[in-house]
Amino acid sequence: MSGSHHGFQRDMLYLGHGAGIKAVLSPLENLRWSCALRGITKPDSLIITALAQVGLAGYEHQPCMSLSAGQQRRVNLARLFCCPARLWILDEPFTAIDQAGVAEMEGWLAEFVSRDGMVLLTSHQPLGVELNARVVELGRR
Amino acid sequence: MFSLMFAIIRRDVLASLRRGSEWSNPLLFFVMVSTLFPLGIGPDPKQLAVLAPGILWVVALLASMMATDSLFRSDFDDASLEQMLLSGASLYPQVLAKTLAHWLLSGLPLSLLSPLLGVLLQLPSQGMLALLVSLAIGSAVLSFIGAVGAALIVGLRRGGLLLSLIVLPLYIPVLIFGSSAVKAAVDGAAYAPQLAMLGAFLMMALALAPLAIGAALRISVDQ
Repeated sequence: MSGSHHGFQRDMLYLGHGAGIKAVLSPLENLRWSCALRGITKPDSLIITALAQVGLAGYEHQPCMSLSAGQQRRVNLARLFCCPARLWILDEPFTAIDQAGVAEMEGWLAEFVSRDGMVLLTSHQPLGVELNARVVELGRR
Repeated sequence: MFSLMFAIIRRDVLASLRRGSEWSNPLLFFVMVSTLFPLGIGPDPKQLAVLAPGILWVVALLASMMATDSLFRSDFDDASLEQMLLSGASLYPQVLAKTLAHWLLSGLPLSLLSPLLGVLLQLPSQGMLALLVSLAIGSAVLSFIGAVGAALIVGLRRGGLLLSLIVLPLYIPVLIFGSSAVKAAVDGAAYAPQLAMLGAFLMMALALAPLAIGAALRISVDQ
């Protein structure tokens, strides 16, 4: 990771509780903004692939308010695929995602880690064993 | 940097246009309050013509303040502000773009509409251009000042009144030079000096306000 604060922010991608997406805008329009913040110009094809990767192909132009909570989470998760980073910090990424989706996400995490990525995440549910994650249990005496 | 600013302006303008109420409410406020004055003061054209520059400027200023309240509110609520601060992109162009987008949908339509209300308030025709131009420049300055206030109060639940206490005193110089430009034009005198002062305010706001807005946003989001 880069040593400077600025470089750290460039290498880090944070997904928090707030969706960070505008309900009146479509997934494509929302992610264009996210990409612009990361200095990515001409992001459209990148975004469309990322949306397909999270299972939202065909929803690119629908306003986000017409999507379900889980789908909105996925719009947010699509940022992981269109913004390059080396560290993902995810705050409860599994909320509003169904069981099959959680397994799918764990696959993404494993794939990212195998590409020398780092992931720091909080979760209420135990992670899959094959992820081989280091677990710190908070609030346990 | 310009592609970043363009992307932010496009996003904000689109979102605001789709929501509708955000840009139309201040405009309706401007029209409605301006129409109240002839009813309250009486329809005497001479009296109205004298008061028109001041009335239009004060109402435009209040409408502009009304619009600023929502500048960062929705970004704070949906955590876009967090993303802005954590993205690693410099805050200066980001808040500059956001404020410009805000002006495009509040100050600009307000100034384009003002000659129509000038007619309603019997403003002599030689004052129309001065009104339009002074409001266009002045409302941009108001947007920047308002954005500093809006950034400071964005973390508070009920900050509306606080916002007016913060920004109204700072609006005074803009109001003085803006309305005096219109008065000068009505009297047939040169109004370029007042416009030049407003332009100078705008340049100063363009250079310095984004720094203050960025710092205020950091404080508000950190809480």
